Amino acid sequence: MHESNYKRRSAILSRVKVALSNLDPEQIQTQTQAQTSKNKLPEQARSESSLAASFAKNLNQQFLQNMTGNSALCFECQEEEIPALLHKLLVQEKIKSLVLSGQPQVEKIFQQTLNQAQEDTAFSCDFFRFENNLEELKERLFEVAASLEKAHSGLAETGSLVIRSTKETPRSLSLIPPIHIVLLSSKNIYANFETYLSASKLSSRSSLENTLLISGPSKTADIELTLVQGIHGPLKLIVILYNEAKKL
Amino acid sequence: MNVYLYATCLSDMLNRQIQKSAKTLLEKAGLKVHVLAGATCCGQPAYNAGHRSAAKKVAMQQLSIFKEDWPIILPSASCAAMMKYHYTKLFEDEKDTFEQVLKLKRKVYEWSAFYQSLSPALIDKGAAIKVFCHPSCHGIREMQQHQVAFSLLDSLEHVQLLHLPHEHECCGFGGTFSIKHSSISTAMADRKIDELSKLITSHGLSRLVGADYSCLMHLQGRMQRLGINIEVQHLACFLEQRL
Amino acid sequence: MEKTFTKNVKQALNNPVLRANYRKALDALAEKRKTAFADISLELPARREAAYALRLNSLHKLPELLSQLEQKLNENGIHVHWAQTPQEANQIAESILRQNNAKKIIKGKSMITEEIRLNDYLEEHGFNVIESDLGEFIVQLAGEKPAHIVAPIIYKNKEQVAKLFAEKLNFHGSSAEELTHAARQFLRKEFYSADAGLSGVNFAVAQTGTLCLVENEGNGRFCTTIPPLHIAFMSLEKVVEKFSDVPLLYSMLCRSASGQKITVYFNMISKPRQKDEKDGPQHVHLIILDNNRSTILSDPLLRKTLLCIRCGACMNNCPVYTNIGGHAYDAAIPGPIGKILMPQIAGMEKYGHLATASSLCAACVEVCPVKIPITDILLKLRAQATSLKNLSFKQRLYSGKLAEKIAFMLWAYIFSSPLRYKLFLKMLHAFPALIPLKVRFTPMLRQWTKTRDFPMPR
Ligand code: SF4
Repeated sequence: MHESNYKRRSAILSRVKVALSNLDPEQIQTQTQAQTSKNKLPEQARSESSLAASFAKNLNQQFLQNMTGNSALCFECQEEEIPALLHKLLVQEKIKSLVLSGQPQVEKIFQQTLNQAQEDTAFSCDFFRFENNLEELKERLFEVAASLEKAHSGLAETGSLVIRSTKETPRSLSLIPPIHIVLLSSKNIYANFETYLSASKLSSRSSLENTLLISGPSKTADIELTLVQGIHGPLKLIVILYNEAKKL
Repeated sequence: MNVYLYATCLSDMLNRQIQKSAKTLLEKAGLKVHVLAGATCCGQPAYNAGHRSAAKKVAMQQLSIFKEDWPIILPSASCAAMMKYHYTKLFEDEKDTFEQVLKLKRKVYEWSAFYQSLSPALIDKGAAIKVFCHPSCHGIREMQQHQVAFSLLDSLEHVQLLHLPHEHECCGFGGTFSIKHSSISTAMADRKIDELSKLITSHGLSRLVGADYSCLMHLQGRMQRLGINIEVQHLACFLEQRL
Repeated sequence: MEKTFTKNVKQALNNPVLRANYRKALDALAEKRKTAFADISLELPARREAAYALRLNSLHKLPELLSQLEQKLNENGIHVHWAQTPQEANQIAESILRQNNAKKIIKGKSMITEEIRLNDYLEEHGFNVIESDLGEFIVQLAGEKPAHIVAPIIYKNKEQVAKLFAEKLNFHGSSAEELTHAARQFLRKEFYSADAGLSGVNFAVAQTGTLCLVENEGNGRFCTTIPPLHIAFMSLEKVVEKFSDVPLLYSMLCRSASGQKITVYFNMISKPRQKDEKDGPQHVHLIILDNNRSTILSDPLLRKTLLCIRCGACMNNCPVYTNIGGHAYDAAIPGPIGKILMPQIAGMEKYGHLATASSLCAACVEVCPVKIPITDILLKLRAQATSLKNLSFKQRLYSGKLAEKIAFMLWAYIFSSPLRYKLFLKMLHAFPALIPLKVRFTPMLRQWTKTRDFPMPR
């Protein structure tokens, strides 16, 4: 198998090489074009972003507007206000069970939420952390009502969340539970995908973590082009954009 | 100013009025028009059907007839596109002729665009009429000048130009396509004609015009078969009658 | 093959419900695309030019990029396999599945697996394959084939889907929402228990060894996240050079395909589950397929067929596709892109006739986000198809190719001489009364007069 894979590989690659030796008159031209246009587009994007950065507030607004346009439920608040908001949301959405990411900040915020909710005797919400392997948690993950995690960053132009999969934020956290609740710090909003890539230097790194862009709850329009929200992924996406508390 | 008028084979064979009107209007605008002797066909039918050597043979003949360095005007966007954009592909491997092809390319104009560029006096002497102008695919997507016909018609005082929601869609002619895939071609024409019929009954449309006779011939042939009677005219003929 | 096509076309044209379904859906899709580009309409020409240049650049660097991709993927722990033919690709997939003891397979939408007919192969070999994209799931339930590369069930209306669900899933509901949620319930169980997930690839980034997947539903994520084994399929032209090439191509794809600024999910896969990670497949494999593409690359014009990013805009705007629908083509990829791709990957004998089924209106060329000169390629393929080489005498006669060639030779004989041309015109105009008769006895023109009157010379 291995040897024949190698043989097939060489056969294909040498055929491709021979085929491409037949030069295209346009080829040289487009190569330089590709250079210039590639240089041009990100630059454009960059200037847009630096402009936008000077209006950070605008960036937040743009993000919220586009994220809402993508059918996500969006909230904006101060960091200290998150627990209260979360409490309200859990009640309002009748969320009785929750899976948490392993991020310390999420843990802390959820503890505060529970503390706050102590007076609310009607309130109850089971929760567990995504601490074990998927195989052990599978059953619970397919039953739990919602998940809570913090996103790595956001993209204003398209209303997208950037989620990197790490040991603290497994991929299925944003996939299996019907409601996905995401915290996002307003510090981490980029103008668009291009600026995110150049800022995070991902494009030049030899490899990339598994990364996701999420722009709304799952949806489909396969049946008669009627848009239906909620097909395989979450039925609902809730985004809490917060301004970080000022450090003393 | 001297110009060549390239009559096109379709006009030669089926509707000589087109070249006559095209010539008259250019002359009225002050040009000296030479109808090209020795012109036959641009070679498009064979080229589009994949018969390149036949197309080349005929196209070669066209290359030899332009004695003077005058603009060449064709009353058909598709023939103009053939000479302007496709001869370079047809002759890409022929070093000897390629120079000639490039020279020709720069001199080719579609009739309505050229006519408009002369800023002719458009004083409408005709009666009030509602028309639809079919923009041909070659006019829209190759010569990129279908707006010209619209604006010529719009500037006629008694002419009301009507539009269709899908007017940019192909009428289904496509040369040998209309024969090889007659049923698809007819279905495409029917879609156009459906929309046109609505304009006839509800808006009083009474004439179909266009700058490409091939599309018009196709639509007219189908409408006659369906018993829809509406006059069909090349843009040049329509304008000549009214100016 | 041409016969099947003619038969399919006839059937489709005589089916008013089908045509209405298509017309409605395609008009809407075309309109959505237009609106999606409205905010950047001034930039659009430059973006198309840039996207074209990016794609062409990666085609020209293909050998290096493929090697680089393989190396990066290997470093990241993803296994790379090479397949020259559909058969090889299927066999490789089978052996990977067997090695991992996988029986139940959940699949995301992928055109390349249609091209190699993977489902048929795997089912014949005893595997249970379940399509999970809603459209593909419905197609599979109905035992049919997808009719569109982005919207597989564009030919069906809601009522037809409801009936199917009642019969096959014993689910009774009528709205798109109810039906969609029924499919969700059904497929969740399958995601839970599948042994392997299969997917396609939209872009493979050589620089980083990243496989990008574009989707809205989340089923692609399920297929590539939950089962312990993930096998991805791609044809070799899917590779792009740098990560910075991706945003532009992705944005062009979304806007052209469904009129969205962005899809719900953009999944960038570069590693199997790492030691400290809690989920993700333990094993990830990529199968890279050639299937004649290395031959297509040898012609500078035909090569551009492989710029395609499979957005489907060309079919949404195609008047032929709109009238006859996707199934008539009887091809993995229908529409304008199918007309140029299928004859080149699956042979002129099988699909050469598709190249003739176009009026060359170029509506496809106008919308293609990577500026594929579809009509020029059609013309080149037509030119290749007129060659009588390799045809037996019988085939020449039977296919009508010889007759056509003779007709055009005769035409060229007349039209290449002004003198003969004049004579011909004289004859044509001499006895106008005889014209209907002349038309009747010209075999080619008979096809014309079947549905249209012949214009009388004036
Ligand atoms: S040919 Fe162009 S328009 Fe058609 S699917 Fe491919 S990229 Fe899209």
